[in-house]
Amino acid sequence: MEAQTPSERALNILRRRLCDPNFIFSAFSDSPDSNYSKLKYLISDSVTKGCNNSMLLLGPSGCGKIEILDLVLKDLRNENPEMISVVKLDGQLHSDDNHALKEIARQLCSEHKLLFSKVASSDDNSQFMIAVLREYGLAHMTMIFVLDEFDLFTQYQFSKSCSLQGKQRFLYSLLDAMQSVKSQAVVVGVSCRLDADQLLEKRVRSRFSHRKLLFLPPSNGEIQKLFDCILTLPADSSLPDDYVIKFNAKINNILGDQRLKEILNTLSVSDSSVRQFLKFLFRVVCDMDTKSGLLSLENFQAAVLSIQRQPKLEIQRGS
Amino acid sequence: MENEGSPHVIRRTTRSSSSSMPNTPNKIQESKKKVDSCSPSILDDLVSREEHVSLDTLVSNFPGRKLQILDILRLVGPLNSPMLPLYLYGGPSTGKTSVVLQIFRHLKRPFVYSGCRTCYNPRVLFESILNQLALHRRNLGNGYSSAKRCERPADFVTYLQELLTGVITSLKANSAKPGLLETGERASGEMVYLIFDDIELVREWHKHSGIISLLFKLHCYLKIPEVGLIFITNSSPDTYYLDTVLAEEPVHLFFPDYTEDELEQIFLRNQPNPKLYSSFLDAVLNPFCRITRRIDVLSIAFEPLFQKYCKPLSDLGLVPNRDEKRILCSYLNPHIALSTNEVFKVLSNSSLEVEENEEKAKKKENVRKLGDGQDPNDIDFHISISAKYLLISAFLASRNPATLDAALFDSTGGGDNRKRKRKSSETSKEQKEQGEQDLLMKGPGTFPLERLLAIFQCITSVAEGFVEEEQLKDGLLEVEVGDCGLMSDVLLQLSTLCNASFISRGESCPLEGLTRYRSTVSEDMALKVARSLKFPLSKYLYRR
Repeated sequence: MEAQTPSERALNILRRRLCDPNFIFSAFSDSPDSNYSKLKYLISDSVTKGCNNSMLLLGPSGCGKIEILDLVLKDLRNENPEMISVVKLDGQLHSDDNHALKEIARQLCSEHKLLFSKVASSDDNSQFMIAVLREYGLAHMTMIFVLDEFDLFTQYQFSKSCSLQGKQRFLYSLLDAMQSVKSQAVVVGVSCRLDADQLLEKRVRSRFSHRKLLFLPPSNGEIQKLFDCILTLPADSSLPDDYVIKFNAKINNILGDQRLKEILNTLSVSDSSVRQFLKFLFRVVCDMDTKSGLLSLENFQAAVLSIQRQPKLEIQRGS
Repeated sequence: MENEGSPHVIRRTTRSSSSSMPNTPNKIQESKKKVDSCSPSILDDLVSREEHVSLDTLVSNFPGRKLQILDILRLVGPLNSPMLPLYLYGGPSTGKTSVVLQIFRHLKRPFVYSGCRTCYNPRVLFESILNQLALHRRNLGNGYSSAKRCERPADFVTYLQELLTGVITSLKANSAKPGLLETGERASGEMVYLIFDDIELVREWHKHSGIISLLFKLHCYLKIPEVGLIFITNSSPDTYYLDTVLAEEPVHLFFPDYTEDELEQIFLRNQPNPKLYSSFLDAVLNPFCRITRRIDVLSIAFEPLFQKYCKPLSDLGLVPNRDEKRILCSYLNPHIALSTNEVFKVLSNSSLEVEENEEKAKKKENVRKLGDGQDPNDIDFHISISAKYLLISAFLASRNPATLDAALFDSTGGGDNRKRKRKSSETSKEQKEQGEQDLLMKGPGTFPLERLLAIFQCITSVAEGFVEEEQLKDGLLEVEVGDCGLMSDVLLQLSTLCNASFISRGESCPLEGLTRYRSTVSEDMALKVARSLKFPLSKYLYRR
């Protein structure tokens, strides 16, 4: 295990990078007009000013909405610890309002080392949430609610054919609690439905600010930057210097190749999200020749073929 | 952890032995010694307990799967390197599960296997994964209860996160101790892999449509890089697009069907006399390959055939020369046809998309051939007997007016009454000549499903009496009819016939709201089918 070759270690580094969204999206964070900076400004503003806020992050799936949000929250937590606590909910898991309230209570309990009661009723949980919100307001701390798959929170009640009052009850009670109590809270909804704000019913919409941040698939320039950033090995790692130089030279070489541009083009025709690009790079890196330890253009070509598979055709052919 | 050690072995044994290829029984040796020598821990429990296999034996154990094995190894990656979720798909019996399990035996990394066939609902699935991670065994002592009661996906994610972090920290602590690693019997690495088998079945769980996207998104929820997810299924990835529009799409890897050569290699493994068996395969493999390439089906079909093949031989160690081969082949040939029929029947009953499609394609092809005028007296396509009866009853239902049903088919279906009834229909014939002409111009009429089924039941009950009479005359028919109950899967057959456009499904009746059907086969065709069944169709026809 200790006797790993440089190429194996390089492979390990690359794979770690590809599977770590923090690394990948931090590449986007430096420019001032990026979504990262906007989002950070919005949230830190409401943290320092001590006001309520709400916003929606919209964009097609796989473009790093939640990843960038995570990055922002991590940075903010580092900058002002003890000021922020984050509650994360997912529309797929907690769209039922009872479960959502329970999950909020559970996360708050585990954050403040309180004993969480599983049998607490939904009313108890909502009381608890309001009490905590009030305390937060008094202590000038900000609670951040992250609602992933926001559209599902708006849809759940329709299927249950509840009374009118039951519609979007969770969102309503959350937003209403924020307004009625003197609190500091930020609600961030994340959705890949661009019309997510239209799904809100009137009483919820009026309590929701209509701030929207649009996340778009990366442009060609960004893809190339990402490519360079992910595949270039760091010079200060434990890897031998000459190997790193050779590897990076090869990557630069490939990056300048016209054929690579064609490959990236074909890739972005079907799906231009970051996630698809990462999947592609993952395959490339997996196919890396461990003997020479270098990536070659053939790796890229093979990977794009394996991504463009046509499963139905394969099964029909039976081979 | 220490005190609940040895009982784990039992569970592991059952799983691992069932996972191994059936034709490698010599490899399955439970190494009990290992358990005694080292104190069991979290690592031992999650790692396969079987002997370590080298890459070479792994590849040679699975002929024709070398590319896939190497691909999986590359995607799973070297020690301690994270991976994106992996999605393995391919037809049934192409070695997906066994390849994966053997690979983990080779890698000696901890994994949790859960098949969605045995874990038949979300709760069982969740709890089985959590139990395995928590090293919990259900026994009499704890009243066969699980480690955690967990029904909702949200709870599952929370518990899973807790347990996995625990397992991974203990793995890291263990790999930090160099002494343990040197023994070579411990699990290696800090990664834990979750393997989900047969996930296409999850789609059929009612009211739990969210589970499949939960599984695909699991690694977004967990956000633990030390967890690898592997999904195994026999349906292709685009069948999941509907469920997982929002979900993360995993990395795909396709397991193609075995080619004929690969099948030969597989069947030649562990044969006492490979030469003899290969000459047997030469004769048998080609016709069977056209029907199916599933090893499980083929191996069942080949076993009795090989016995028949060997019957004339006195010495099983013999290597047949060319002439002998030819003689043996000619001896075997009639059995092959019979046996392929059987295999075909089994497949047509199971609702496998692909096979059904193949079947349909064949039928259409043959129908076209019939149209060209070859073989006028014989239908040379295969449909099951019940499908033939269904076809005839649909034809009758379309042709005859509904009011005559009671006259034509007695509810008892007795053959004796038939002539009298038919005469009565003959007397009314002249009066309704005009009506007949209208009917002919109108083309085949529509009928509801109930009427079709009633007619079907009548004519099959008549036919069964028939067959008994003719049993002695026609051996083949007896074999075919004797095995399959005529009423089996009628609705399935009906939908097959609809798909093959023998019967067309019309729009529903505005008053009753039921779907109405219409038979589209010509009279010649129906007569041909009837002839092949020795069914007196003309007696039941209204005009003739």
